[in-house]
Amino acid sequence: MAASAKSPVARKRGLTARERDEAITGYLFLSPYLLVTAIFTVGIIAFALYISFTSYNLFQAPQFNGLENYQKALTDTNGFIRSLVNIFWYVITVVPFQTAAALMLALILNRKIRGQQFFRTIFYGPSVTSSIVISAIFLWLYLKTGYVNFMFDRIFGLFGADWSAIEWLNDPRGLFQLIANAFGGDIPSNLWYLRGPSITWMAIMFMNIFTTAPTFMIMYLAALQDVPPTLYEAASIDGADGRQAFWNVTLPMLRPVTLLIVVLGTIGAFQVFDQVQFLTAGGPLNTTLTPVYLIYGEALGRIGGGSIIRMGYASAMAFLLAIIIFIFTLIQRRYIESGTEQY
Amino acid sequence: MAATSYQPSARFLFWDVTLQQRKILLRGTITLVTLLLLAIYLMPLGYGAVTSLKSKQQVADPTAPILPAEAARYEYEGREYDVYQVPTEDGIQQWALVNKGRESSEFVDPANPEAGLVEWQGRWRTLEPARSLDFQWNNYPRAWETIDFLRLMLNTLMYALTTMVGAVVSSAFVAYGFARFRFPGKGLLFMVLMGTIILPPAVTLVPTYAFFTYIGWTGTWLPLIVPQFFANAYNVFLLRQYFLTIPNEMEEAAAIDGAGPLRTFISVILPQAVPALTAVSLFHFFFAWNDFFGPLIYLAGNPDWYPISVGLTFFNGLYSSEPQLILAAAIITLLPPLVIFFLAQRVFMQGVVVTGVDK
Repeated sequence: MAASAKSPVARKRGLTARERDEAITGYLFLSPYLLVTAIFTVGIIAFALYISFTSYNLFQAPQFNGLENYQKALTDTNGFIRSLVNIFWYVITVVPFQTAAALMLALILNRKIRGQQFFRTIFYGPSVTSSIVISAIFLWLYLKTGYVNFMFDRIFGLFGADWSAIEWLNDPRGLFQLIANAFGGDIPSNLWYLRGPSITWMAIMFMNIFTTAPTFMIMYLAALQDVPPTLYEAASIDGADGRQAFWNVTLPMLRPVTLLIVVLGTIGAFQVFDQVQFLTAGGPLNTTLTPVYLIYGEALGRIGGGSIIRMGYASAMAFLLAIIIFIFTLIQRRYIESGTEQY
Repeated sequence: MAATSYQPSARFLFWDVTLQQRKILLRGTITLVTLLLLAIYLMPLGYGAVTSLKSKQQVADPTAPILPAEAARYEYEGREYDVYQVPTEDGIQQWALVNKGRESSEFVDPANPEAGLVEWQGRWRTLEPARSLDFQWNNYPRAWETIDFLRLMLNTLMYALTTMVGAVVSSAFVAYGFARFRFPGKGLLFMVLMGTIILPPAVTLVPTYAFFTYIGWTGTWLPLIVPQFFANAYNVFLLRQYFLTIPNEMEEAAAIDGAGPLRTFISVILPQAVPALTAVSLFHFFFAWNDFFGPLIYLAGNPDWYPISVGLTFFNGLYSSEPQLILAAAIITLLPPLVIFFLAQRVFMQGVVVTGVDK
């Protein structure tokens, strides 16, 4: 099989009979994908692009309206623009924290400790449970009378301070706004984009870091198995202590998987939906509105109470989001490609 | 031992310790840190589990203890009285408060009711009520019945199993095609496939939804199940990685024995790939069990077909005054994947390592 394909002479002449057979067999194995996924996906994307330039409500034929949807999306400061600002805070917070937490967990669970397997299994637990179940549990933890406030109250009590309970899932105050408040100032609502992520948004971020960190921990654990022990031996012969070995051996060796985790984490973070749908529906004051939540709402007519289906508008927002994700991924891929062939 | 009795010693906190001891200490410290981390990590789940066993009254009472408990009561001469923790000369006693007074009250000792009423000096309002552990196990059957769990579970299980088989089988074929054969356009096709991982589902949501509405599939399971039978990018990627590690010689030997590609794939490659296939199957099962976005959209308005994730959302909306029931429902929901994961974790972890990557 391989012999003829490797011959450069045969290549130049076009396909030999053998190569043709191999190609046909290959295509046959690929047929489930070629038949539907490839054609369907490409077709679907073309259709999406088309309706993003139209006004379309599913029941009447699409009406071409040029760039109106895109223009509307990019000027809607209470909708799409706001969701982009929110998702920006979310991505730049969640991705670094979940990556760091995943690495930390993996390093600890990679040590030879009693019950290593047991610990790995337990920590991975939240990854196999649904976002909805986790949200349902955190919903009660985050109540004004809930456990989180209770804990803060106890901790503050230790230092003789008072903790005023926060309604975690219904508090639109932004991070920078709180800092400004602490110095006696405020940030007016027309400068909402300077207020930073709201308390509610940060509460959701924390919850999601909690659930996704162990998912990525597994990837780090797998990658740690691949670090050749000889490298550590060499490092210790050169007189490196544990910390130096970590910075100069472990971290560089984990670079490919780190970048993979960052890329997958970013793609996932941009599309956060379940928790918003379950816990806040975009509120309070639109501070947890996300692009996917908006797209879902507009496409199925679940926004604004009027149940108006705006497929064209939803599609335009989806494309803008895809472009943003694509740009982010491209930037990250430039780093990935320097140093990884295996992924 | 005599020859090697010298061991470098170091000061560890306050003690001079040998290297050996230091290693043990270090290992102990790491285990301790891990346990601590674990405790923090399990707190939300633990809280959910504990709250699911409380009574409605206790959930609503902010001063109630953390564990499920009921205020203890004692029946004395035909009437029920609250039991308090009363400090006495013989230590703290659990006495029932019969006659309340400002500066002194009369109690009865449930352990010794014949002694009659005992006068106690002090303000009864400062006393802690005595509580006894009381798990409301029947929150679980109540949640089970209220939400019609059996149907939700069966719907979810049907969805998870069908798509698991479809997605893994079809993906294995495609992955093998990419791993072993040379054909024109292979690079491009693989790139398109990988591109679908990056592509936000939201982008395809609008046209896919429009398409499925057009052919009349919305409101049924079809839009969720049928596409899974045509391979998905993640599974193909993972399985291809694994197939690439299987040496070519196996297939060459099979080919010499006269086996065709399909036969070789089924009887040589697939048995070799069991760890990877298991891992991918489990990934898919967990994904499908927890899937929320797809069913929410395509099954809208058809509560009979809801899977558990969507069912739980509606339950949450209807019973927001009974968190203990919602949490019981949440715990029931997370049990099946957790149990499967615990049972299969050895295979699963092995699979994660062999495929190199997970979802």
